[in-house]
Amino acid sequence: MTLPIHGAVDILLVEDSPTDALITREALTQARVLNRLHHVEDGYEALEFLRRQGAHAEAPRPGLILLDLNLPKKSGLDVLTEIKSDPNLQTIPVVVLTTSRATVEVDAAYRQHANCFITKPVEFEDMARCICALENFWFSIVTLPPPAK
Amino acid sequence: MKMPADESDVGAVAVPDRRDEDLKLLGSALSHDLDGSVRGVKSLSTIILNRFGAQLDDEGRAMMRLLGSEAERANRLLDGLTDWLTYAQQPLTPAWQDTSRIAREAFGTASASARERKIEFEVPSLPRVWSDELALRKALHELLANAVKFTARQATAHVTIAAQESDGEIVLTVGDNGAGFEMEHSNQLYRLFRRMHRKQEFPGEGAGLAIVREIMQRHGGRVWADARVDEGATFYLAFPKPAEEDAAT
Repeated sequence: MTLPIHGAVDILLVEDSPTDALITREALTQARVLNRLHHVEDGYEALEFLRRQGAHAEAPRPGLILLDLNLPKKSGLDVLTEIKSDPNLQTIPVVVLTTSRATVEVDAAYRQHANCFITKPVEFEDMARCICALENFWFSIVTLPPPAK
Repeated sequence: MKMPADESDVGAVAVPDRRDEDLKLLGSALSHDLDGSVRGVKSLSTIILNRFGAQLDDEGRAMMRLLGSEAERANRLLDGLTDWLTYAQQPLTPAWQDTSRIAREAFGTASASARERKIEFEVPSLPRVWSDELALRKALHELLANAVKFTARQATAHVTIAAQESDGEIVLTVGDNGAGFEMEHSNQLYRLFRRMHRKQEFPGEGAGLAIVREIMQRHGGRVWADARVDEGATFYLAFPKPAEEDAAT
């Protein structure tokens, strides 16, 4: 893989399962992704991070959000809706990563303007390939919007 | 499944009752929570082997691989169960179906993993049946996938679909010249995860026929089979015909 030309980009992972967070982190390491991974465990914390509130006052603006749909308290879909209706946040690509293949969830996520929907692969090696492809696509292939002020 | 009394009553078969709601909740719990957990076990076993494999001895590595394959199996069982729940619960929209087209398409998906094999597949012109399209497609897919699987050892596999029509019903048959099974055990065929062959011989967890039976029950129909060991199997799907005024489309 060619070296990314963008420099390190921050990725926000919204995931309540410590195992799934570990798997994503491990997949990023294996894919030699240079980007920094920030991990929050629920939807409220995700919105605090994105809005630089509370403990996250110094948080960077992520270039990509990996969002699990199955979150405690505020659901992933609600978080998605809030991000996509906030003028400051709506341009950040949101990748919905979930275990579900239920067509209603896929449909609901796209209706709330998810940038893509990915069913987490069962095999770790497939997950690593998926993360590698995601990072290549979002940070090397596509042109992202300029960061909002 | 009841036959609709008139056009405006079609929705009546789709009204969710308590059982449907429970099955839906169960399906969601399985596919979100349990599925995620099983997938986590599988991935962790791979990560442990990748990162710490060198620190384990042969036995430890073999156990870690077994842990991974058990998680894979749990995942397949969950997929089967989720699939079964989907067809046990999702609303049916019966209509007259183009059986020949659906059968050809179902054979396409059922044989996708066996493209290198020589399989002779015959579909004559089949009568239309009154059923839900997705459910009919699924039932034919499962029977055809079994026919493809259990003919794997035949030099030339023959898979046929035919139909017999009587006053009250249309019976579709799916036949093959494969491994067959002992009719003595045929009452167990349709039980979820019940298998007639060892896994080393033919893969699979045994959800397909349970799904077919569920689909046929919900259509007010029947499924039965006829088979001989090493000579092949034939499955029969009987779809009741709706009263004429119900299906005037």
